[in-house]
Amino acid sequence: MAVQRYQVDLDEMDLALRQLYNIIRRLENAESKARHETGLVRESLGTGFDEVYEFYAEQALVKTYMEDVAAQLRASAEELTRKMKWTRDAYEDADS
Amino acid sequence: MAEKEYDYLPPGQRYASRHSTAFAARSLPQMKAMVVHADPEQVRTAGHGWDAFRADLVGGEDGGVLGMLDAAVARLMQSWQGDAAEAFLGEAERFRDRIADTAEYARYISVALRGAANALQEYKTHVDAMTPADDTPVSRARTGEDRASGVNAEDLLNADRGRLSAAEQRALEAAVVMEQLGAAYNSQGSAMGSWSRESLTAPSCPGAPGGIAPLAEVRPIPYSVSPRLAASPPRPRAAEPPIRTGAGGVVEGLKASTDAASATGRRGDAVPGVTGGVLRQDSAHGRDRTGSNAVLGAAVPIPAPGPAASQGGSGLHRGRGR
Repeated sequence: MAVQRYQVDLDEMDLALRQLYNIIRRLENAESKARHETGLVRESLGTGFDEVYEFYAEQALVKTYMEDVAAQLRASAEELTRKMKWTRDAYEDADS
Repeated sequence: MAEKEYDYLPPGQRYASRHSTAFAARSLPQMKAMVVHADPEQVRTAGHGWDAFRADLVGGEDGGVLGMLDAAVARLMQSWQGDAAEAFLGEAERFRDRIADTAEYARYISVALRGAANALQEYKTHVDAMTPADDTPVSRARTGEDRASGVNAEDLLNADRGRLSAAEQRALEAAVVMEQLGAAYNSQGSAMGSWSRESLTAPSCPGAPGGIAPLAEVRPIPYSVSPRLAASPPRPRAAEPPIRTGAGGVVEGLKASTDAASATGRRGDAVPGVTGGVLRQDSAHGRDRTGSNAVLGAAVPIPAPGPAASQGGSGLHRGRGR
């Protein structure tokens, strides 16, 4: 059986976990901004000419995509944090 | 109306796309109605929302999510070694690339919205100030067919100058201005449509936006339009290094490097618009990966005018008649 070599400081891992939780909160803020602070009222561009509708439609597509990307980033951060927590607990179990 | 805080395209450059509406077939009151309730500040506010979103990712004193992640990983790696540490580091690096790409995407959207807002502010101000003439449009029947067929209003205006009634001349001048607005919107729309959108389940989602970089600058109102406003000239701004457009021209005003690039420690001298301005190394395959990017394709140089060509604006126009 292969011997696993590693070096770890659980206190440092705890600190990193706290930082990852802060990152998740920051990403939640960003996600909220993408959804609620980037809206464009179509009439603010003008009305009655094709260019308005085409521009509005393109930005709406990009906005929807970015909202989804922001949600994905937050989910990825949560996944990274979960894995880190699991690893940290595994180290602790191995030590005890 | 807010004070102008935008730059103009250099003389000889115009929007990449043309307008699509036959403005020359519309009356001045119809065109005034198109923009009377338009609000550049609302458009700008949406752009500010993307700026705030981007700041959460790569801005602020702590460098945003990217800065926080870098700091956390760098510190942790000093005390953690082994296979699990290597796996974590690899995942964290992929995650930080995605954050940088997302921030660049947000910057692109913000610039596109700012460009649209700037164009709207420039052209709406002019159209709002136009007043209908009280004479009869005598030559409408002669030019009506050309107008409906989508002939450029500026060409009509220059070809018929001196033979138009005051009412017709004003309507055509408004059409020239509205064509600029239409072209500006279409150019930004085309740019947005060119950005790559990787699948949400792709490991590198969203990837670099690539495509056509958006444009915040505005083309000045052409000389053929009579100055009606004592509009204040744009405020002088701190000079930024010009960027090669790749189309033979140079556009100023867009930064060659981004906060994301500096925050990530990536190269700051690379092509703007690609993953925060960098060439990215795909370590898994040992090759360079860059997004395709027609840099600043939203602006192209105008060919040298011939004797019959219409004049392009230079921005100097704004100072006339004052």
